[in-house]
Amino acid sequence: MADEEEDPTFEEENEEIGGGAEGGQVRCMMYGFGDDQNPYTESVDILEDLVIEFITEMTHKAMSIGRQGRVQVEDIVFLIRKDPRKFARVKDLLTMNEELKRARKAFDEANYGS
Amino acid sequence: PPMETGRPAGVSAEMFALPRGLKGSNKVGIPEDLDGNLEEPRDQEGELRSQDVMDLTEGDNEASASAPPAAKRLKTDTKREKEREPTVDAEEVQRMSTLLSAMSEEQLARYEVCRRSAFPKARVAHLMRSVSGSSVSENTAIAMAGIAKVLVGEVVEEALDVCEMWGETPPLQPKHLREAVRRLKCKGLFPNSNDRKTMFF
Repeated sequence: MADEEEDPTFEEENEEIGGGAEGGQVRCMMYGFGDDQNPYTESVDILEDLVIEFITEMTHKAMSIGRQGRVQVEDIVFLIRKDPRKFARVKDLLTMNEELKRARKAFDEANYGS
Repeated sequence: PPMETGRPAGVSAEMFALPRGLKGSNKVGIPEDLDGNLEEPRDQEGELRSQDVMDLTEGDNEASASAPPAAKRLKTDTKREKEREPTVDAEEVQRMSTLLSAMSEEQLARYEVCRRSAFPKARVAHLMRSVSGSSVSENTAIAMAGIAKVLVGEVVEEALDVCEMWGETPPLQPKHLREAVRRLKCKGLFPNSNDRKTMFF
């Protein structure tokens, strides 16, 4: 993996922030996806680093396509197009988010009326 | 491990409320089609393959809604399933509850954790912001968080295969994960493969 590309300072910064917030989630996810109920910490760390690297590289790539310097959903969808699972997942998430927003809005409007 | 960390405020995570009453009960007469679809249990514990669970995962706590979910069953062929997408809600719920009633305690617990775990939007957005230098929209962070979760699932699933293939048992060790990543990169599941000249490994 191309970990060495990253500036060490930058990486350190990430690990500091990533240690708390994402660490707990990754651990849960591993169990959820089939690992032991208590995954090894080293394994959790590896996966968390992987996620950070993935998001970072995706963001970089998204910036270089479409509208330069910006990360937009369309860019992400484009990058993911060859990966059926991820692609389907993004579509679902965005669709559901829209529906949820609409539902919430309708709910708020109903409340406002009464 | 805590099951409900990092939930954003304002959205209920009970997308599909696990039918509490059905927990632990073992339905004997599993309908024909379900029976055919159920894959072999991974080991004696009968863990669900993560792939199957991902198929059933309708959404994160990020985008919870009682929306008509994609009718993805336990098949690996998600394309075919997508065509059958416009199924009736009731049918889907029925299938879901049938499946849930067929799960063991352990499977249910695992499934619940799987569904509820998610990367916090804020954390993802923060990371993307520090990489891009500009702010990212909420949708973008949501999409990225979702993809990241799929990624974890793919790696863990592959790693479990590796682990089994090497005649070892969970918990997954770093070597399993690394081998899994290596394989997935070859399969092209990492959209970051920069070197196209590398054909073998």
